[in-house]
Amino acid sequence: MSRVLARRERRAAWLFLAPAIVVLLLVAAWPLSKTFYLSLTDANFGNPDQYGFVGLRNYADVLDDRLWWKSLSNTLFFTVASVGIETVLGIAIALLLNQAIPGRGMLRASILIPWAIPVVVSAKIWEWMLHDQFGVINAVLIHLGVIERGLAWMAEPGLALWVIVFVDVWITTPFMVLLILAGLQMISKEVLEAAYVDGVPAWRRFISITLPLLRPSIGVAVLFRTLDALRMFDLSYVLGGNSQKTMTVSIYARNQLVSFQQMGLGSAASTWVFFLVALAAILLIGLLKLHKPAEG
Amino acid sequence: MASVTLTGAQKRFGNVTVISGVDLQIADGEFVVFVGPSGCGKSTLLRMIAGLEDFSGGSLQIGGKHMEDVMASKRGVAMVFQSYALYPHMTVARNIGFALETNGMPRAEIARKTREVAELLKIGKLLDRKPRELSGGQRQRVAIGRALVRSPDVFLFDEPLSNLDADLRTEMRAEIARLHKELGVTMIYVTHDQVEAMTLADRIVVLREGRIEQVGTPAELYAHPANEFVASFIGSPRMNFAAAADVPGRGMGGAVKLGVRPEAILLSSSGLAATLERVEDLGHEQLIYVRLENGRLWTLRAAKDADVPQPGAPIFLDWPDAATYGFDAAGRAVQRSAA
Amino acid sequence: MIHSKFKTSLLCGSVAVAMASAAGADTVSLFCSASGAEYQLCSDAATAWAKDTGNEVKINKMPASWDEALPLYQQLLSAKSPDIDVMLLDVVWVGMLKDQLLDLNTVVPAEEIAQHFASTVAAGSVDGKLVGMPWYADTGLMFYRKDLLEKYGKPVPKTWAEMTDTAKVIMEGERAAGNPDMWGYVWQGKSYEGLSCDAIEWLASSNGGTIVDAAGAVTVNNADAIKAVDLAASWVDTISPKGVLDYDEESSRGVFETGNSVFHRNWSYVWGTSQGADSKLKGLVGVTALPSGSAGGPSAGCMGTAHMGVSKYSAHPEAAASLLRFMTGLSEQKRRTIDAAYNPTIATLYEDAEVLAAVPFLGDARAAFDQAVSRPSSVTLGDYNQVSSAFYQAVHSVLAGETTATDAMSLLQADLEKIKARGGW
Repeated sequence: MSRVLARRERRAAWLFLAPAIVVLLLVAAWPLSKTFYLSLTDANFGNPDQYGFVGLRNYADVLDDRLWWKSLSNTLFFTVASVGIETVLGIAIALLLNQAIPGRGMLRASILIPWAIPVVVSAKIWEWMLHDQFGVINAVLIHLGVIERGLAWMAEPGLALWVIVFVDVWITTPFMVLLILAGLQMISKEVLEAAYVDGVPAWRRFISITLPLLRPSIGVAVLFRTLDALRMFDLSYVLGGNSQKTMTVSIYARNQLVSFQQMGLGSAASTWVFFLVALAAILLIGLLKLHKPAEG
Repeated sequence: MASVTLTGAQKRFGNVTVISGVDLQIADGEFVVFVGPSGCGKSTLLRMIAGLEDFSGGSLQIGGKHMEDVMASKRGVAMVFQSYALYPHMTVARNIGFALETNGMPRAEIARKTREVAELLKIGKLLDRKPRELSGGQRQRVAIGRALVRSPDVFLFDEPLSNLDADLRTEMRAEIARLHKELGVTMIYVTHDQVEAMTLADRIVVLREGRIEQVGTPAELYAHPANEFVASFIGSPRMNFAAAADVPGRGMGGAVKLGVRPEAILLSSSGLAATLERVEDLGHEQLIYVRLENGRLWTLRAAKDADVPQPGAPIFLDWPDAATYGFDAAGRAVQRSAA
Repeated sequence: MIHSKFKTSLLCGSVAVAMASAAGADTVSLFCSASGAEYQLCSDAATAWAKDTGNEVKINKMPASWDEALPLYQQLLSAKSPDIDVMLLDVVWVGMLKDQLLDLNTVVPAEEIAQHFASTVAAGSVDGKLVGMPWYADTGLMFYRKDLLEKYGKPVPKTWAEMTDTAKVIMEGERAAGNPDMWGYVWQGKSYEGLSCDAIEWLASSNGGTIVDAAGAVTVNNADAIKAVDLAASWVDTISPKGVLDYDEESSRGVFETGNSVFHRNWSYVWGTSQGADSKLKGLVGVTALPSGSAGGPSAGCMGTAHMGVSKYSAHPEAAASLLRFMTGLSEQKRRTIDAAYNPTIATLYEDAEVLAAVPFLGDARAAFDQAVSRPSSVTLGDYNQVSSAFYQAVHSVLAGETTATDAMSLLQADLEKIKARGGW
């Protein structure tokens, strides 16, 4: 290719990219930098126009708050537990739905229902189902003789976070199933048949062939879910409110910003959340080798 | 190494019968090719032998043992797929050795066998590559190697060359023929390409709509097709046909339809009248398309230096009586009279 | 200009209303509480006002949880939004919103303000500015099952310890008698502002102070406070269901009004709901001041007076003030008291024969208001939410058994001092 042509193509490339870059700058870079700017000030919601610079004090203050660390450990626990369970369940259900079973079309559609319901609505439904006195879950468990008296699910220190994990699994496993099912359908049937004819046992076909070939799909699904889980707000807020047992870093940041009117401190907390998510994204992309091309 | 016997083999998918009662004996060490138009059931029959499809009826014996209810892995068969079906995330060496690995063979032995097979297939230098780094022909060799390394009694090929370009196809055809000769193992090969069938097969099985139309050596099928379908399927360009009434003086007892292979027909000063439509010069020969008076298009083959009239010229076609094939109303071949 | 014209008209209330209608219909935006009966009361009154004055009123529902309402107000106010004119205020928000609310001294005649209890007017004022007009008085009260106390021959308890014992005896008796779902005491233990109220009642009635004292010193880490929180923690899973850790007003009221608890701490509106025509407990409920920490000690209900304020950014301050005066005025307060047992903030209504006939406990309630304890919002001002949040989180963790009261209160003391050092109230 001639040099003139090459230059013209490069210019065209930039032109095509320009709208996307402008939009990104507007919707991502601008609010991010504004948040970062505010995090260096002592701005207050009550009087947002008057503030002074305090350097990195807000960042130190966040780290000095026990509640921040409690929120962080809740968030990490929630992320690992929910994404872990969702991945295992997602693979299992996707494998099932990939079989030629009767009513497969219906099943595939119906499994999406929890995913289609807005999270706040789901959370409210579960809040009622889990109510200690009037909830249907307790009624069923008592009827089955599993428990004697209704459990206060969200009030039990050992249970509250698991309840959140459980509801999240209920809501988002369909998402995992969908992504993994798409991945499964990309795997050539003949590859698995070849292994079958060659006498490779079923579990070994799964471990050595299906799983590695699913890696890109699972990787993308895990990445999405992890980043989502680290920023999780709605579910915990509806089910747990301001309870320390279930507070996530996003709720923590929201409380500083909205409830306590501390724009500076809240922005610093938000920025920490941003760093956390960014770090997780980089680690996951490296770990799951998502930057490498898929095989096949 | 083993013989393969199918007795009354049947396959139904729901209400659709795909294979209806196939009986076939394949001798130990024989190279048998299944041919037929697409949808004739040839791949299904192969997959039934492989153990990828179960039998709806009938039986399968390999080496004299009943196998129709035996797991694929215990049948002593190996299969090469149309798409090669290589494990995309494994190196060539691991692709070849994977089956042995899962059977618990010691590493050193796997390595030795893999190397042996790779040398035989001339892919010894590619062992560390991933499938996506290989050409189509190389992938096909790996797929064959993967089958070979298990030392199967029966080799199954499912249209293995259809994804290759013409040159590679010829090369791989020769390679497979060589392997059969060296290993002397039973091979069953599915193709829709009659050239592959003619060149590779000890015997050809022609299938149509789940039934065997004819089984025989390539020469037998060419010279003595059992019916109109086989006659038209074997041979290239395909046999020319006409109603017996349209070809006066060439009739055979009981034949309502006549057939003549293109290579048997000569341009002559008398005989069947036709008009020359088009000539294709293939370099080593010429193909001549002529229009009969009843509107049928026939094909002739002529030597490369033959003197061919201009398109539009009226011509006459002649051929030896012995080259006429006759078919009855049901399409069955009619025996040539002694004369 | 408008302002001065308005001032002159204030000399006579009825003129103000007439002028507003003569000046053409204004649309005034009002925030009402979202809970069913209360919303109905509020919107009926506002509609009546609109009809009388010829103005229009746009009624907005506040978020169901008042914890959510404050941020909404703050967002609207900090955006200087004209979409918000008259709003319902919790007493603890007065200090936080003081700079964005109209000084009602300029739009409400002094004699009209003077009709209200001085304590409620003081609670609605900051630095001499009246920003929240008292609307209804409220405080934490103890509701109990009159029938059950009689059945077991128990007096109405005067101390928390007595209440604990009585609740236990009756609960066990009723369970043995065939109601396995019976509990002794339900209250608000969820991690939210309501728990700050419940807990400050335990502290104040046990000489444990009010978290931050009037001078601004953090006092929460003291032996009496620790003892009070410990006692409350002992209720959980004994006389109170474990679910109480997740109860707010409505969910605890649900348990009480289905007949499954002997005692119930809530605001005075529960009198109205539990005596309603369709209530299962009609005629069976008694109400009294909350118990005290020790015999002869003080009872301390949490001061929960509701106020009404007008946004400084209102486009129709005259019409807004007119609506506010109507809503907080004598006749409307009387209607609310008779219809739904909301306690008036106007002193004369406590001697009104009609009112006393409808709400016989009003006299007792007045005593409870006199002893009501305020959350430290007027001291901590803009930092109140942080203080309260730290407080209820700490108390909740003790109730949930995650830590001891001793540890929690000492950590809380340090946290509050940290907040004080930052905020400098």
